[in-house]
Amino acid sequence: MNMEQEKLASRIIDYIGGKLNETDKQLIEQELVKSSEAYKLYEQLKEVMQVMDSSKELEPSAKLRNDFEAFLRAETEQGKKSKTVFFSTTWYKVAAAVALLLVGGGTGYWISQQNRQQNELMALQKEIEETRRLVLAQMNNDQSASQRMLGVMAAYESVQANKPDDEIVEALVTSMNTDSNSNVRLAAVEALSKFAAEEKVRKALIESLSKQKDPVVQIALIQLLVQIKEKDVMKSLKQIIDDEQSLPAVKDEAHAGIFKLS
Amino acid sequence: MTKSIDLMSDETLMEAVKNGNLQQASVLFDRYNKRIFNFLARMTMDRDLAEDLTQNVFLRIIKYRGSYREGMRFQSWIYQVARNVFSDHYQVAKNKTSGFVDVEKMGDTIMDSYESHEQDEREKLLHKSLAMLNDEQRELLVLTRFQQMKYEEVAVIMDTTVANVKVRVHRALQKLREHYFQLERI
Amino acid sequence: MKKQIVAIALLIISTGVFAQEFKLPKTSGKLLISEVNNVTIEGYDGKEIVFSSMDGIKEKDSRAQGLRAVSAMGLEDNTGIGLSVQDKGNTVEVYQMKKMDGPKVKIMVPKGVTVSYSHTSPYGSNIRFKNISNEIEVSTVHNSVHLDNVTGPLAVKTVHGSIDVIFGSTINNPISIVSVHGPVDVTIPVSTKANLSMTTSYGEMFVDPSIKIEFEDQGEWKKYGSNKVSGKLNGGGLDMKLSSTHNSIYLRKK
Repeated sequence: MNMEQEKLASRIIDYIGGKLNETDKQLIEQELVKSSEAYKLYEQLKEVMQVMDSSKELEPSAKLRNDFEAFLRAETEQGKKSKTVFFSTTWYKVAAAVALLLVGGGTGYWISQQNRQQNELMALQKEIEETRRLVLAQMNNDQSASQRMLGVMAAYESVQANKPDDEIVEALVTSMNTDSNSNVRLAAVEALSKFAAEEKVRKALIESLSKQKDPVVQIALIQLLVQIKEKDVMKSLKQIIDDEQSLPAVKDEAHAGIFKLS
Repeated sequence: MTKSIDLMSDETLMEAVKNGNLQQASVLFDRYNKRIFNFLARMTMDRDLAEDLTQNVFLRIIKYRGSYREGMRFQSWIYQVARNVFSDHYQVAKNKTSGFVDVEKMGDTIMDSYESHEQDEREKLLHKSLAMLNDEQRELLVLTRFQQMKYEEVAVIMDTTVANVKVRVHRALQKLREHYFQLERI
Repeated sequence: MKKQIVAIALLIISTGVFAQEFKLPKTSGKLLISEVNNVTIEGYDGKEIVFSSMDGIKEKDSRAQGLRAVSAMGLEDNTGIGLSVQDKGNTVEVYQMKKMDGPKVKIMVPKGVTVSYSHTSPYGSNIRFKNISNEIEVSTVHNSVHLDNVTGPLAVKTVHGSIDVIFGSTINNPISIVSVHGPVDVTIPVSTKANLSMTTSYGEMFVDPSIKIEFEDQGEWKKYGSNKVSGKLNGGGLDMKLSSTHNSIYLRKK
């Protein structure tokens, strides 16, 4: 294949992939009408590209997953042996639970049943614990604001509104007050609105208002506090209005807030 | 609970694995095992071998978790590991170069039985022509067409420029076309 | 004839000086740009960050001959174009030497590098981002921000400026775009799957009729009166938050 042909084929590939601009597209279309050779090239390239694109994904067998899981278990076991301290409290709890049940003197079946439930419960707790650790890690990613934002959303998703998790709520409050990026602080304010029924959270929101320097976050906080009808914010709003440093837009919002709350 | 795991980036999960939370590797396995398997199956043209190699990729990810650097894109990393596993395999089996594939047999080993006979025939032809490409050309087509990866992503995995990837993909496509229609005539 | 040659030679020399460049090899990590007043940041297919000044030849301060420029922050112009660039391994920090005015700068950024721009002084003018398929953070008080052919993730905030975003063919989670006083104008592919939320207190919201928010009401450029619209686009997906307290939000189709 010579240079000219290679160039032509390359343009045809871009044409099929829809990557040409209007002018180039028209040029190629003219070429295809004019030259039967070019048209043949087009048909053939289109066919191989289509066969590849429509080719089905292959399914690995169940063995792949089974082997992987076995390996992961073995590797985790090994980790436990070398780091017994880390897991000892957990095993102690299981042992203690079993011992207690034995002392209680139930039937064997009953014990194993209880034991299983206990184990399931602990597995669930462990899962919650691990998720929480991950969420907190992602919220602390110092390289990327968008990762922290996703972390805040994950934190929001991980807890039910009526059962706020202290650690998660605290982490959200920390993000709201100290994250270097305003968009992340804003996301944290929004996430905390889910737990606005909690006295602790309302207090944290009011306190945060005097800490925030960025008008974007100040405005969002005022709007949220007004929306949840938190009258205790009145003092802070008056302070904002009296503060010469406040941006007019923030003062406007504070005025509107006082009006709506009184 | 599951939804918040879904929001976790690959990178956060891999960091957790690196810090000893091995269980999170199973989430990464869920996200990537099929893609890596398909990549290796297309590269080796051998399903059983591809399964073994896929297993190796995940073993390496866990064994060498310490070498995962923070800030590195996980997808690029796992594909780099997969490429290494692939080339290591053929280094060890020295007399068996990956270029040597029993074309007749291969068509049958890689594919499940398809519903459409015509599609089946075309795919057989496709795999025979793929087998006639060199490893690099095959890899470029597997990544960009079968796996629908963007040139930018492939450039990172292969440590080269996007322009370079594009030129090479186009050449590979033309080579493939030549083989495909030569075989068709037979 | 001779005159012509001289003229051409002069032209070549002047354009040569025109494009003053400073290059830094880097294919990953984060570029932190602080207090640079007027800048265009463009993604490209290469392996080094390229800083260039778009200004013509400036008259040299003859008194400054043999001296080096220093700033209150203890920075030094190590680029020859009025910027201080410090390579700290995983991050590269860029500061402008002069608080006011300063050079008109163009920065070419390799695909793997993420960009974070921050600005607080009242001397900012326009900042532009082009062709960037990676995360972008922008935090500014006075600048207007233009982003063209970007994919996100985006965390963009300005107090007084406007924000214009034209997305490329794909968008990456999450997107957060906030202005207090300026309009927020965003163009997305119609097929974007997103959980959209738009908020304004005193502005209005306009959406292209072909962008279907799972929300009632039809008509040319739907106009929503209340101050928050949230809904799903194409069944939902990535998180997209648009907000302008005192100005309007425009959501257009690509």
